[in-house]
Amino acid sequence: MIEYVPILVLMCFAILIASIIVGASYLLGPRISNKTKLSTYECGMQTIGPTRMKINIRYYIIAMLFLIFDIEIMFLYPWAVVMGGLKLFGFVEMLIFVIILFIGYIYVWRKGALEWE
Amino acid sequence: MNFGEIIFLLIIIVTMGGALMAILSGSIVYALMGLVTAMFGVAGLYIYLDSPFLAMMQILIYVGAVSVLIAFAVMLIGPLYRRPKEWTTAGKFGAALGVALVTLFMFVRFVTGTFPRGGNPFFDMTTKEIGRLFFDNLVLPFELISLLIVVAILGAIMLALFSRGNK
Repeated sequence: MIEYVPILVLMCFAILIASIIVGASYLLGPRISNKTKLSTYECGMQTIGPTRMKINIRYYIIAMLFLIFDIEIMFLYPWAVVMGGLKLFGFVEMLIFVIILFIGYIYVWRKGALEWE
Repeated sequence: MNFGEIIFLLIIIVTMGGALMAILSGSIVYALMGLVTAMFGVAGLYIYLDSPFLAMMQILIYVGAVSVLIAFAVMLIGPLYRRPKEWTTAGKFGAALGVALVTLFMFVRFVTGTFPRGGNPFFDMTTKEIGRLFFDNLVLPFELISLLIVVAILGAIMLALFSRGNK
């Protein structure tokens, strides 16, 4: 378990810094509330339409493809860890893995799923 | 109670809290946040099960990508604020009975010592060991994973084209 101590330290610092920032602005900031201040702020513009609007279906397809290639990235990690000890064989095996996925990527591209019409 | 157990309890609290938030929240967006918290907690549990690779996978894929996918799905559909339908009394009793029976079953097995213990693992489930196996014994399965991912890509594209309306 000792190898997880850096992660624990990192998490502690993340929580600490986040709470310092939020807490300091809560403690030190002046509290003036009027109608303008409580209104929705969006780059200084009047907001148009509801905030929780329905989005284009196209985002969903992009997210789906992102998920799939995320899984691909996941399998690069074990390779990266043992890569130093592997000879050419490991490289070629990974190359085949990536090429198969690249064919899938080309297919996606050719089918026009990445186009934004 | 040593330090590791305190962290374990914290992880349990985070997981349970997230899961409760996911099912009890009236707003679907907060429910999603609860689900992400619960999945993050599950990643912590994987670390306690000596599977760091699985924990990283959980964070990268579930917390990172699947939650985005669900967020988009939430934004595609409405309505965003609607309290879930209240449970009927019979439903509540049924659910309570089910949970009680499962708990009792597990408790009895735990007390009588027939609770399934973890067997000897096939290999040490560290990232290094997984990598070594991928490039030693399990070369073909490793390449088959990429084929599986390509099939998933094809499925996603089929869905995309169907949703667009042309063949």
